[in-house]
Amino acid sequence: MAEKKSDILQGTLDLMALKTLDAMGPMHGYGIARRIEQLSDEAFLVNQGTIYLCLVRLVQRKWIAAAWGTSENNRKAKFYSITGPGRKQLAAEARNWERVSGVIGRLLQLSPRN
Amino acid sequence: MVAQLRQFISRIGAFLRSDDLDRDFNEELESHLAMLVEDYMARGLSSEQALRRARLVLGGRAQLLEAHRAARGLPFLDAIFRDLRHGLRILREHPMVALTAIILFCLGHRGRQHRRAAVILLAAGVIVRYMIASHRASAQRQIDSA
Repeated sequence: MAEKKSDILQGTLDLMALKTLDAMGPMHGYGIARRIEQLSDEAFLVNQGTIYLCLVRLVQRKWIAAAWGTSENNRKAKFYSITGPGRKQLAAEARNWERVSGVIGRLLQLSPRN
Repeated sequence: MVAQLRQFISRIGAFLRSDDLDRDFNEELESHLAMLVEDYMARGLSSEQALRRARLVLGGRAQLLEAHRAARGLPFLDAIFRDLRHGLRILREHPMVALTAIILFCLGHRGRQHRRAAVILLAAGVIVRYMIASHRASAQRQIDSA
């Protein structure tokens, strides 16, 4: 299950999209992009369209599923939802993040030697 | 491992139905754009301002489509097919080069190793000279017409 960690930003965006779908239920690309922008001060998306590059990766790994449906404003939209393997991946990624941030936190607390 | 295998299989599928997926993605972007415009208009922008702003926030359609193809399909095969098409077009535009190359490579293919090498060198030389000559001629025509 080990995914390559070459692109931290890309991995972070994947995690954010998975978590968003896990917490909020099925959403369209616009909703996910809006949510990530709100959470991250617009630091992760160059523009809203780039969310689809992340979503296509997640669909290909079967971590999320996509289906056309109707939006709250009666507009045709593609909705994404998290799958069973997606939840498992999210749990693994979350554990990984907690471990890494714990290490960095302890590292930053080291006091300088006089 | 499983996820990577799934992704690779999915990429082959995406490469084979590239046109369908382009259409699907275009529709998705269209729906995204419409929702952005709606939101901006609800915040008081004119329809024209809202559309301009929405296009900016969504990002360039052509770049997104290109990046989406690369993310979902087999970009290296796309590149090979693009190069092949480019090569065929060049050969069509320069039939004499194409003919010379084909004859020489056929001769070379039948010969022994050292003769093959000589033929390939000769072919490369002829083609390069022809290219240089035709390039000079077209440059000269441009100078003349200026």
